[in-house]
Amino acid sequence: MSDAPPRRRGKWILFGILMTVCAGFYAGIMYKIIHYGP
Amino acid sequence: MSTTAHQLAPARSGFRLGEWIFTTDHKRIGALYLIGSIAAFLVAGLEAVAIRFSQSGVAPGLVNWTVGDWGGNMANASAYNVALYFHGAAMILGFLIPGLTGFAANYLIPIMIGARDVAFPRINALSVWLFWLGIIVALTTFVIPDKPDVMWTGYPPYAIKTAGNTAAYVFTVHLIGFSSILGAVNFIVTILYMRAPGMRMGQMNMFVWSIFTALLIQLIFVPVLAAAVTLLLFDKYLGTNFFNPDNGGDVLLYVNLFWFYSHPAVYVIFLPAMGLVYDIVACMSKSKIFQYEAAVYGGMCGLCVISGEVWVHHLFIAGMPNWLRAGMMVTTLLISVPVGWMIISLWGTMWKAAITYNVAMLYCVACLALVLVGGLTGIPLAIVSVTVHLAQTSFVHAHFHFIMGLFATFALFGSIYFWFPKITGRSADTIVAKIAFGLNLLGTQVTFWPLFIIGVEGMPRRYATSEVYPQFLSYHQISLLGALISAVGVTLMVGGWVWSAFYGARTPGNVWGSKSLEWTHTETPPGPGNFLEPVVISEDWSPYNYN
Repeated sequence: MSDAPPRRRGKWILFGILMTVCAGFYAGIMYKIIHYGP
Repeated sequence: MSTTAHQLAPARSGFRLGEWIFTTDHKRIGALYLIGSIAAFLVAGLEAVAIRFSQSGVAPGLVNWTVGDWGGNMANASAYNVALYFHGAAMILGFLIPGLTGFAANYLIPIMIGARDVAFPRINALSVWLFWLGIIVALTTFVIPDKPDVMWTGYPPYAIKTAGNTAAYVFTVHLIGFSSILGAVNFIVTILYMRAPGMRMGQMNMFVWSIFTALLIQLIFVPVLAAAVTLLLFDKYLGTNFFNPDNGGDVLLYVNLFWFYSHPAVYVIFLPAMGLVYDIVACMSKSKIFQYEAAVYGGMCGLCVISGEVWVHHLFIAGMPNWLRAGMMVTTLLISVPVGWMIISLWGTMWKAAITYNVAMLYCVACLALVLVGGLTGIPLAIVSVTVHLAQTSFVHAHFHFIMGLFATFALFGSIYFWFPKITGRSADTIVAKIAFGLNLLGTQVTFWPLFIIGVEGMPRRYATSEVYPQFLSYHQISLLGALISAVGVTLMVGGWVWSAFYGARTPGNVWGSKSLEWTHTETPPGPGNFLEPVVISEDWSPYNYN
């Protein structure tokens, strides 16, 4: 029997989702500012 | 075949620097965060004392010396601006956030949830490296000739026009910001995926919940600050005009973006501090958390949800439609509801309990008073008709120091005393620690209450001297006295930690009689892999199962 922690397979998927959300916010804000104003 | 972490770990003895620099062990990474954040606190604290010396007129030249202007080449007011920049940036970005979400989260979260490490240990190591790099960049302030002087806010147009090194400010924010984003992703995944078999989220420690909610805030809002300061960098060094009003840029756009992150950042600090206080209070009261679900879902999760809709109160005097002022006044006042839930829950946890007043608990009891003063003084600042008079005065300065500078700092100090026996195997709970606590509490009250009074009377924030307002000079001198009392207290406290780490009385494994996993299921101090046997949680287990 392995003592490896359970439920680990999805952790990289969640990592990817969270980092994408984060990068999306960054890119989205940059885009909005660059296209803001005169 | 079943193997334990201890069987897998090779026996080692002695101190090896490389093992610490390249470690992926969450406990050692936590210790590295602790050392870095306390170092930032001490230097930023020195700047705070210099600021008090400057405003009180007692020794205005001291501030030049503390920012590295040993030849006295800078004007006193310029050196004061540098000191104010470093104090704010280092206290928030270098001490409070890394101390709470770096040190405390790293050391405690995996053990509290029954995990052997975080979900991504190497990314965790990268986080602490970036943090240390950020600290080093911040410390260059003291050696470079064009010292940054843009407060911790970096407001344009000053940040664009100043001869100071705005890039150092921006790169510090980038490094520590990226570090905290990686940390946030790591711990959110760790809490969701690495809990011991059988542990429901509803069974987690309050501190785990507080970190989970705080890091959700961090993950959403840090990119906004990163974008804002990046464009600030472009404005100053590449000639763009996003925020430069001389060429059609919008200053208020930056201010909005800055506070869109920085007000939620208050809760990134507040929530973990509250989580630490909860865990200490429950253990030292030997009580279950009063209304656990209400405190978690209504308090912590509620604060997490509302945190993003209140930032405009920082701009109430900047000019905006009244409907927006009214709306943001309501959302700001709503913050008192989840905070109130948590405070009532803490009082309820202590109600009729047999409380043991160790040093950690003394800090937590002080926290209950500090959060009350900080919270209640926030209400007039949320009300538009009042805040037009109080904005930009010392009243604001004293208010946020109570809620962040004192409440969160006292919670962190209390947590260091509480988990010190677990980390080192020795106690730091000495008579000197109690004296240091008394001095810290007394000193901070003597420092900040005069600032409330003169703030109401009209003393502006961020003035290098009191020459323009000589009627407030005696209050500034009382405030200086308080800062000096605190400095003695902090020296005794930090000295006590170092002494206790080597010579403190040895303690039994579960010295406080806690029911939480880090005390009941690990060695003292915990070895590599944390647990001798894999942890399995039963349906009726609770970290607060005291009755």
